Amino acid sequence: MNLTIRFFAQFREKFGAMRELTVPEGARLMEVLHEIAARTPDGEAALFAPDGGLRDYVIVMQGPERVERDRAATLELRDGETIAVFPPVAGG
Amino acid sequence: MPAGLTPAERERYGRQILSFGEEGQERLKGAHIVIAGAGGLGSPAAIYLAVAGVGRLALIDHDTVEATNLNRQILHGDADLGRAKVESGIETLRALNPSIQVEGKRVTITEGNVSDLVGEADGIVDAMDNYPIRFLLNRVAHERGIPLFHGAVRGFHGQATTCVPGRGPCLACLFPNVPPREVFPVVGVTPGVIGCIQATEVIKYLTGEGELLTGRLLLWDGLAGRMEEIIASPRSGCPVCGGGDRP
Repeated sequence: MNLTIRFFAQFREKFGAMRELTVPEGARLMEVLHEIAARTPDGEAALFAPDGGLRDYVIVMQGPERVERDRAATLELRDGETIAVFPPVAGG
Repeated sequence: MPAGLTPAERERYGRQILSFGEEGQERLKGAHIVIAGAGGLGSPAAIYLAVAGVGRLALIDHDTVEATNLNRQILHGDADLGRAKVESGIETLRALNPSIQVEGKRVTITEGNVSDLVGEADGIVDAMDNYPIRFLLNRVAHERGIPLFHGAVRGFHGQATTCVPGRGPCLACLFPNVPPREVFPVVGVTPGVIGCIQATEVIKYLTGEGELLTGRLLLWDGLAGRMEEIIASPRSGCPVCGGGDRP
């Protein structure tokens, strides 16, 4: 199945703006993100906390819905969907 | 409360009255907006709200002007180094538009004073550089039923949204956890873009023109030259707003 991962803010400089991927049916978000992170210098540290879960401030949006960290850990992806992943920027 | 326009005001604001009419201008004149932060975002936001004729602007900032501020904080210049930002900010705004009321408070926004600082304002411009204080402003905005015009920047990236109680997600719906504090990189044009978007939102809200950024997080990528948006819903169980208008 096909899906699109969009990155924003400083994640865009690290991972690029958009990844269009073909993944096996039933693939989980965390598997996909770990795979992207593993191929990017410092990618794991940017996305993941030491416990292996997403850093708590990383925003994951599935359509208009924010995916809570606990649910992100098991989120199964659907064909054709777009997931947005980004950190809030904080400066003023 | 709408306030009538003087002949001088009709002339001064003539070009924007062509856009939103005298009634819109009267609404700006009758409005009271708090600008929390007189730095990178607060500078352009305050400047454009002042020249647009928002009748009463209140700047809040605890800091003094430092050399490292001057690449972006255009309320202040070299001659202001060491001065309180609210002091030089008020001076700049009064010089740009002597016909409006500008005030300032040199304080750190805290849980204890945020309610008094916001007072009877019609809206809050979030021009802070940290989330803990943003969340205090978000809570007070929700309690008062007034909008929070959010902006934030890092490097060439920025974000903006408008949180209107009862009409979409609040800031705590969007960002339940905050990134670690850092000395953030920032190129002055980025808060220039985002601060102007915040001021645009204030003007739209007050005049009733256009479509606000409620339920939409605008993301600006200055390096790519792209503006995109994320549609966002209220978060069920949000500790501030409860995700109240969720269907």
